[in-house]
Amino acid sequence: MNNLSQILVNGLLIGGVYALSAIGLTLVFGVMRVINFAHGEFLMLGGYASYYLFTLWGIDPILSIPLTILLVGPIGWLVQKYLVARVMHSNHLNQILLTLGISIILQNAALLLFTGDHVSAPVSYGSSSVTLGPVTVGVARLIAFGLGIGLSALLYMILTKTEVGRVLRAVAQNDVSARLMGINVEQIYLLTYVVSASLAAVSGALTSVIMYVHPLVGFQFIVKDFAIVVLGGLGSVPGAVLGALLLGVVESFVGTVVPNGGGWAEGISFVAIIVTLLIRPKGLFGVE
Amino acid sequence: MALLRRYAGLIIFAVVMLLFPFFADDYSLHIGVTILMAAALGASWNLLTLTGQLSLGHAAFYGLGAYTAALLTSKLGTPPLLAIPIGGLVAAASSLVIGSITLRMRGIYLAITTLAFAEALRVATINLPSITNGAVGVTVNALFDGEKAGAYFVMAAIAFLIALGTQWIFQSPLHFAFTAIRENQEAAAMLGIDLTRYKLLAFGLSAFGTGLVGGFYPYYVTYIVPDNVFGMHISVTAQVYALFGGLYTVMGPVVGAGVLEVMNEFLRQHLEQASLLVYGVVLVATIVFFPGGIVGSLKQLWRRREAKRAHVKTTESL
Amino acid sequence: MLFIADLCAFYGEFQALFGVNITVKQGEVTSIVGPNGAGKSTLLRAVSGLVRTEGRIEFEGQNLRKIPAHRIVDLGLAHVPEGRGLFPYLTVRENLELGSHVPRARPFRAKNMEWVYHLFPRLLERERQLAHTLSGGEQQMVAIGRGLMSRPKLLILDEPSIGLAPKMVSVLFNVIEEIRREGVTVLLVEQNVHRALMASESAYVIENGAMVLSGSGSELLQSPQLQEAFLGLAQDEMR
Ligand SMILES: Nc1ncnc2c1ncn2[C@@H]1O[C@H](COP(=O)(O)OP(=O)(O)O)[C@@H](O)[C@H]1O
Ligand SMILES: [Mg+2]
Repeated sequence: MNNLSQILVNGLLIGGVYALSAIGLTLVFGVMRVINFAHGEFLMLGGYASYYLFTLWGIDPILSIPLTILLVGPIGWLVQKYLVARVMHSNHLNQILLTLGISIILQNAALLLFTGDHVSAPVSYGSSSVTLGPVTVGVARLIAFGLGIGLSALLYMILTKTEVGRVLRAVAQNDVSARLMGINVEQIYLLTYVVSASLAAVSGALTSVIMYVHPLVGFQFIVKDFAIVVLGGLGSVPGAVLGALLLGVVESFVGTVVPNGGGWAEGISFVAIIVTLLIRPKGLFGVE
Repeated sequence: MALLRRYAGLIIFAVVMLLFPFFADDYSLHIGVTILMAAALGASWNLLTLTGQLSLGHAAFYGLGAYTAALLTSKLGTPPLLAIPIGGLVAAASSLVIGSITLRMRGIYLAITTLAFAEALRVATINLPSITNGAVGVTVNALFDGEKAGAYFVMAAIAFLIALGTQWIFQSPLHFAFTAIRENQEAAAMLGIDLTRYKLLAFGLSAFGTGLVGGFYPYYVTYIVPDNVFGMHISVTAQVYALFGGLYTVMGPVVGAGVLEVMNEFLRQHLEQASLLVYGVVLVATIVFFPGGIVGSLKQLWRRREAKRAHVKTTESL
Repeated sequence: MLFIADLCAFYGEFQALFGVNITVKQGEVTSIVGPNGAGKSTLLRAVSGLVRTEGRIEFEGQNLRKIPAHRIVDLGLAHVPEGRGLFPYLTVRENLELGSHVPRARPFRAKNMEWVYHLFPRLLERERQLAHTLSGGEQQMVAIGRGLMSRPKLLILDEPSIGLAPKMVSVLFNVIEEIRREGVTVLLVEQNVHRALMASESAYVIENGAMVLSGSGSELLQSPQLQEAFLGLAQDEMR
């Protein structure tokens, strides 16, 4: 039952979902040098969007992903345009406290609007599973993993192969020079923030299928996201994917092997952060 | 005169704090305690921030203070007035550990690490029921059998101690060292300022203050659970008081706590549950619209008026 | 082509330029010299819309002060900044491609890249290398090449010879000459006073944020005031 390969696969599957959200966080940091404490709240909003689209209109959370992005993306746009943009040239303290403030506003607004109940979208394939050799995996988790890794790969291709990707990387590396190339840097920041929020929202949609959504779910995820981006090196997209898979696997192991281990997730994140920063502050994988 | 002016904030604080109970009923005393806890929390966080170290995990120190004190009393029968300072010391000790680990970290990494630290302690407390009673929490008897005025004076003493400590730092060479580290760490090191020593000192003092407030808390409410004392809301409110009142000032956190807690109490009667929402709005609005906070903005106004007056004088004498 | 009058520039409260007047004529090389901290780079940044300014900056009759930084390139003006400002973790080719990001230049990307590789054959060999792994001279070539990728009417160069070996400096000035022959107007800031003035039709000297001398390159070379101001530098160069 609890064989090694099963534990490994469970961890990798959940890591695929973590990857999406972590990429969003690392992208904003890489391009804008802002660590976005409100990132988790876009995941939470995405989760609620897909939950309500499912319960009110019966649209499958996977199919409603474009709609979820359409609902959450504009919120990201507003937040960047009217709030975060104002502290782009400010110090870290102001940037962190501002995004933290936004996070608190969104969390508590959600608490008032949606109550503190844990909800999830009970899709028809929620309890079906497939067995491949020694491992059994839930169909929903498999789909979520596929989407997570697929979208991550797509984003990576866009970043490395297209003009807009080049532009994003240019702004990340030298924003003044980017301006001298005729790049509208503020617009790139907006784009980055909206893409990042959308990735988190997709992650939230997947969460509504395979786990639960509640007003504080974003906070739970951001602690994991921090661990992941520190593992992978802040600002690195491939690093974030590897970090996410690694964290998923470690959580899966601890959750299975340690008695009551499932409750220790945030503890694992903390250990991952400390250990990484102590031994390799630039991240374990050393990719740019 | 200059001396009086320097201490004016502190003296007003002490007088108001001492006189208040004579005019207050139990309900007002309760508000008073809430404000004092908030002020002490904000002032403690501000102490660390003076060195440019941004902690998002002060709940860790608060929770450690609370759990240490509550467990000492409930398991060993330690008297509260002894258990509270021990709570402060345990918090301070833990801060030296986390402080030395994060010593070389840049701002964002420190923020992330401290936040994760508080979360790790929260889950540890939940998951180690044999020591902590887990999610069930710890129950203790109220301070002075629930006599509100007694609790008020204990908390007042803690808050005053922290404010006094801050004032002392502002007048000692520490202030120069802290400010230098905050403004430019490399330059400070070149001036011969021992970064390790001062950063850890700030961590220790800040955590000690926070641990005292946390230590006081269980005896005031008689019951603590992990989510309550290790929760993110503790870290956030500490920042909001300091920031709203005025970062890097002595009285800012006190003023911020007073204004916000009174407002909060008023709001509580109209908007159930909305207090954190309001704090979020205050945080965002302060950063975007008046980064100096109340005290900072007042100081700026004052300076402008002085400058204007000086200007008028010189033109008159011409 | 570029007309600057009564230009003041500010970094926050700090004023770095105090009423500077400069004219750059089409088809010429114009140089600006002056001691460190005089405000030369600030002047160039003002043209590119990177600092807060007062006064007049007109490019082909258009008021540049009303145009946001990212639209200025599209008017046909390329600025190669001090310290090169490369994108260190992009390849040479990607750096060059970004030089033709603006709509005006995008359709001619392939053609302009051919031109740049013709001017700097070395870069073709290094095409796939990350910019930060190149030598100083090669990095400067990438920076200039990236500027040329938009096929600008006016090319602005801020201390391109800094940190280069003497042989590379000669290559650089040959390239500037060649670029000018191909019809690109050049505005050059240099600390290599002698060489800069030799290569320029007109030149300006600024000090402490204000203009102190102007004239043709050869006039200034003869000017006793300039000799005095840059005695040390000039002598180094004369050797
Ligand atoms: N980003 C900046 N912020 C504040 N002051 C600056 C900045 N850049 C340059 N300065 C100041 O403006 C003045 C002119 O600098 P600059 O234009 O770089 O001189 P130059 O290029 O002639 O050496 C100097 O006094 C310099 O200290
Ligand atoms: Mg310069």
